[in-house]
Amino acid sequence: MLPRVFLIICLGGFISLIAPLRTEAVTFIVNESNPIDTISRSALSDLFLKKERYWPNSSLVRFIDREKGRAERDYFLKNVLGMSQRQLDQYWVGKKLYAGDSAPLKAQTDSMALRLVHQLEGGISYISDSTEIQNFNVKPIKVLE
Amino acid sequence: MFDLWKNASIVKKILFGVVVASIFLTLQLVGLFFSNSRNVSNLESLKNLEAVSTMVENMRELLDASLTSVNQAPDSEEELSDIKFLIEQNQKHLETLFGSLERRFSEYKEHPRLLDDIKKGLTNFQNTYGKLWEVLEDNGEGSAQELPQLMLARQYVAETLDALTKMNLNLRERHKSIVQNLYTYRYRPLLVGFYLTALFLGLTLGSGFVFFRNFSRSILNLKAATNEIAAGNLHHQAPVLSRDELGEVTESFNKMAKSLLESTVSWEYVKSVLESLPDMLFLTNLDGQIIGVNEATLIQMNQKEEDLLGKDIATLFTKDFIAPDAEENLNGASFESDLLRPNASTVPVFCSVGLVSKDRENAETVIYVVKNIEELRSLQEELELKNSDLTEANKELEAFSYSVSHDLRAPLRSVDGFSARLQKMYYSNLDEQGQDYLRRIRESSSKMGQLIDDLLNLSRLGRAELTKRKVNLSSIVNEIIKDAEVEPGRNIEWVVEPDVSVLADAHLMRVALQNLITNAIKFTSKHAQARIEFGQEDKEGERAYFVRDDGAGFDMAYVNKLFVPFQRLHSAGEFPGTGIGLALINRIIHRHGGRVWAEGQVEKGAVFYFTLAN
Repeated sequence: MLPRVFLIICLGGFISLIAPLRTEAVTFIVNESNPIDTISRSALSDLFLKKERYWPNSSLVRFIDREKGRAERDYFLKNVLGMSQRQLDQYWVGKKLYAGDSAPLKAQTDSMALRLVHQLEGGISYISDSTEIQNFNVKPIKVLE
Repeated sequence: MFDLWKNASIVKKILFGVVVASIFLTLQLVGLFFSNSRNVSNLESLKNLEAVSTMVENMRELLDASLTSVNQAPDSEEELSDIKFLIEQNQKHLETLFGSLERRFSEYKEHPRLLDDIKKGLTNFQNTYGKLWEVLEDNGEGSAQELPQLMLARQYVAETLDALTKMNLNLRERHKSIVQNLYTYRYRPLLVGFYLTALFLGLTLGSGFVFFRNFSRSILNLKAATNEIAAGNLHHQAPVLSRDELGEVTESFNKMAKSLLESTVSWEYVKSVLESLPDMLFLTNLDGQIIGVNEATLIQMNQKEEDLLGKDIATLFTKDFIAPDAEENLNGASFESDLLRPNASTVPVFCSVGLVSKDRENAETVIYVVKNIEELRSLQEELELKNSDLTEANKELEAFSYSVSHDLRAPLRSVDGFSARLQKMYYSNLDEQGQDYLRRIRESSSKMGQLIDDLLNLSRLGRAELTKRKVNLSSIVNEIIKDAEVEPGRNIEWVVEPDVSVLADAHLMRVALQNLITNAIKFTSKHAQARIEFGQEDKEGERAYFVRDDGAGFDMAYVNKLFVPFQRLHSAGEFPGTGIGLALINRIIHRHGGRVWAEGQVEKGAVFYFTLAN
């Protein structure tokens, strides 16, 4: 009995590791020129927090944040950054002071986020999972746990 | 190297010192330059950094202004036009500033991507706002905030601002680092200058000390040597420490001391000479106070030095003392006196007086050399006594000689007279042997008569009074030649130097010359051709008169017998004579204070020289 339970737990853990971040609200999108298709959560965090500033193809990372109060953003703060809004604000103050980096621009709507990522080389943002992206020059990327 | 330094002249040493000091100074300047170069470089970097930082700040402000303009929602076309103009102007300024920044920032190679990012950001912004105006102009007023072009413009401005801010932060870090560097090394030039100055000062002072120590030593050695020599130690030599001018001066000084030693006598030497004198010696001042005596004085006076010093020297002599105050007559004076001893006995002394002065002008000391003549006086008295006896004996001898000669003449005259009468009256009555005996008696009595005449002459000449006057010897010789009896057939060449005059007794000189000329004629009689010469010449610094002939001459081995009475070097048969002639000449010349001598060679002639007292 015990070996069977252990096997199930291990299999579940493995599946959860290799499976893309599955949420009900958020899809991470990048400009279609971007060669990546997957990204780790920590890498995603580093890109947002401007700890990593360039994509592997040397293009500048242009992260488009979303306005406060939106579900997608709350989800992003909680599950990707693991920070509260206050912590994030403090982080950007420090980042501005010591690294010269300012917080990313915020798009009010999914449509704006799509348009900006569509036009910006190296652009990346997150939108509602339900938003259609076929007409834009963007592609979704899978976030690995 | 050390020898090179020792042999160098002072001028060269000073020049060397100046060159070394100059090198030290130059090295110090170089050291200061290099120690300060980092600070200079940092200051230059700081200045450049300030310029770049100002550019970045200006660009940030321009971009901020552009972003503010972009964020404004234009209410009218005019406002849109103003914003557009403002942004375009800003963009031009930004491009200009970026050009400068690109040139300046190329020095800071650490972040090449930042420049690239700024450039891309500016280009993207320019492209974006161009499209933004088109959209705004097409869509009309009030909807700018919703336009993605506006968001893009913001994004590019934000990217550029971030890059500029990063650049500014980098510049600040660099600025901080440079300032820190400047602060850290702020004392370095001062310390380097201090250490180099201390080092070079030490070296200069050290070498200067060595130089001046040698200089000072040489001078002090010279001073010490001068004092030594002044004290009378002429053996002292100053050590030669170098071969420079001072060394040469020292060597010259040593040479001078050596010359002084060779040409001067030291006080020790003079003292030892005075001490070694067998005679007594008193040194007095001009007041006659004794200031020094020698060892012989102490022995002969049987007194201690301290008993004599300070005494008046006049009290030591009983008579005829020459007082020191008779200064002008004192030097070289002498007197005989009796020296008073402590036991009141006296001793006869001969005293020489001299003045001693240091500067040869002002006499300071009188020196009395006192000779004990007690023994001398006794010898003198004895000699005078003997001389008196001798004179008396001579007189008696001469009287006896004269008396004998005179008394012999009377019986001889009887022998001669009676033998002459016997020859005249009874010669024919005698047989042949008797006649021979009578002839021999006659010859002997005649010879004896001649001898007695010669002896009487010799005796008379010894006692005759000299009457000296100027005499022309040449005239006398000529007269003698004129009266001379020369055998017929003989040929004599006469050579007489004219006007040979002397101060002498004319009669005696005639006798002497008569004998010399007669001798010359006699001893050249074996030669058919003869030469007889009279003249004068210098002999060993004396004027000598001579009679020279080329006759029989004589053997120089017997020259001492020539002037002894009755001594003859030739037999009477060979050359007749009594042997008194040269003894007579000798006595005449001696009475004139001169001397006579002869030189000759057998069969080559003889020369008879005589001199006369001046």
